[in-house]
Amino acid sequence: MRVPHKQNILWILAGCLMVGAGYLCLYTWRQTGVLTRKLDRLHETALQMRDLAATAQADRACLETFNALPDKTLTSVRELLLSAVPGTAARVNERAPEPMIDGWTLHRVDITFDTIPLKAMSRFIMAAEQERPPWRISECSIIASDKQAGHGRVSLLLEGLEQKDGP
Amino acid sequence: MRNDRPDVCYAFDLTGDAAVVVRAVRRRRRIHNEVVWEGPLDDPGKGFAQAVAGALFEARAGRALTVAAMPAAQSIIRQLTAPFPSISKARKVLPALLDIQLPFPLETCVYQFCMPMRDNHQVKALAVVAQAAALQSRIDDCASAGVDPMRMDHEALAIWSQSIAETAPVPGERRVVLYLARDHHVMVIGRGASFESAHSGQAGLDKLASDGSAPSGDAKNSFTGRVQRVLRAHIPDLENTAVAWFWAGPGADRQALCKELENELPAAITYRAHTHGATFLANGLADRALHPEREPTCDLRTGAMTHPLSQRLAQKTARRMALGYLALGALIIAVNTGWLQFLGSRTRQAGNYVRELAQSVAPKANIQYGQELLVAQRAYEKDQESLQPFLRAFGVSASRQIKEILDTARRHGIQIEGLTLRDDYVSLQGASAQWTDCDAILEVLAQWGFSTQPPVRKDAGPDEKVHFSIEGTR
Repeated sequence: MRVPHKQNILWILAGCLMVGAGYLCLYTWRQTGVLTRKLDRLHETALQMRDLAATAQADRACLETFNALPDKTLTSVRELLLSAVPGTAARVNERAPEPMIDGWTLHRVDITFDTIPLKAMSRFIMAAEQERPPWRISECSIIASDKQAGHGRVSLLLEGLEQKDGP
Repeated sequence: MRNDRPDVCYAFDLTGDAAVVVRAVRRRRRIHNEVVWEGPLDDPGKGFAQAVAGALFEARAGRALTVAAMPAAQSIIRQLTAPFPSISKARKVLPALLDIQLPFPLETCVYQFCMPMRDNHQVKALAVVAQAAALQSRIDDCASAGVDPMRMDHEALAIWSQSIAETAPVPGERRVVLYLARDHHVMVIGRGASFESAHSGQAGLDKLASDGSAPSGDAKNSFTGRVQRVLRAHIPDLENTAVAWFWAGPGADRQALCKELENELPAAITYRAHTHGATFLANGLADRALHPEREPTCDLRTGAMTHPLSQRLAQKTARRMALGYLALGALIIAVNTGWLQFLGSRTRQAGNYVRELAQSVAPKANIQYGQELLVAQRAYEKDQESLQPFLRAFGVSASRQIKEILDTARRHGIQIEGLTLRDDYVSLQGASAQWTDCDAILEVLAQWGFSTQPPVRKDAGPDEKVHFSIEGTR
């Protein structure tokens, strides 16, 4: 039986297309494995990144809270001492300030009370913490006095953040 | 893929000067037969000519097949056995096996091998052979009657198939179908549904009983004698073998004649008759043409003798198949491309999401592909150094911790001698009345997240108090 020329071309085309489709199937099969593994890796990375981004965002929120303060100037420690525990002798030593992010400066102050009623000390600490921006007690060392009940030698390290000129 | 095979078939049973034309239509796998013509070829009312014209019209339109039968007397059927189990190998040697069984050269023949099948490490096949000249003569005979059949089936195979279709075979039972036409008879023998052999003779209805009366003695004896010889040759133990005998063809409608002949045939056989005797062969031919999947199929119009309409039909089917493969290939390519696009898009989306997250952590960084997590972690760590004082400001208040420690000490009568508190370290010295009083301080420290060592206690001294020392880290 004579096969028409057009039909031959059709069969050749169909054959080529089927061969191409077969190769494409193989390529797709291999590529599916590659892309699936890549997707799995990306998924894993995305989970880690999401946790990291959430933590970073929470951390930035702390900074934003400070940035949102209307007055970003720290109250002087000496003023605090005068107002919270007037008449109490204290040695004050201000450490060198450290520049921080967004134009903020970290101030650290050592305060030593040779003898102070512990209640007065509590009053001073609370007053310092209630300031805005707050002073924070970074270290506290109390040695009870043998001679006077409720008194002791107290050493404090206060730290506070201040922004004078804006970011 | 849609089959291009027509659902209509005109089957021509041309015997002598008479013809039967059946138009069969396949609807939902069922064949509906309609007798278009049954009578003489030279009908004055042009009934046969009209039937042929109708068939030709439908065949040319590609809607119908036309089929006729190659008489069993002008063709040969042989069972061949190739001595190896591979059907493809067997196909190569079957012509040689057939050649040695033929009384004339195979090159002068048209042949077909039906149902090659494995049987006990062998391949068995049915060979249908006709001399090319005989086939051409048959085609010419048909043409002289105005018929040009697209297919030329074998008479005996059509008779066997129709018998099996009309009465379901009993597995293992021997079956004999005796087709009694006007000018000849065909005897087909098989087992279960399997065809075994075919034998034809010149004794037909015209010789046995031209007027429908009882057969003449000589003709009857000659006929029954021949039939019995063939029967004994194939079924030697005839008396103890279950044999189903079926009368078929125009003779099957002559019950008296059949009864008369049965009296001369072995009594152990169960005799029955197929209905629609006159259209039996035409029905069988049509049914086989419309069911090419039913073995044994046969069309002797192959090679150079292929009918032009069959050629056109085959080309149309091949073209449609090629188009089908083209469409299938295109579909596979489209599906694969779509899938790859989808996966690529998902990967890009995931990559962009990771990049966006990294950018939110490290907004100023130039992030390279694949470095997102590393860059973000470095940026985060760098930020952490400068953010620590801000984070500590939101940590636990030292005043609350000191107050709670002092309050707990007061409640339990503990005298605090020294206390050092840092973000990550606590040290406490004191004295209590009881050995276990300092445990309350441990609980408070644990609440604030300090992990403490067991307290170092000293037995009560001159002041009758237990002196202890606690250290913890966070």
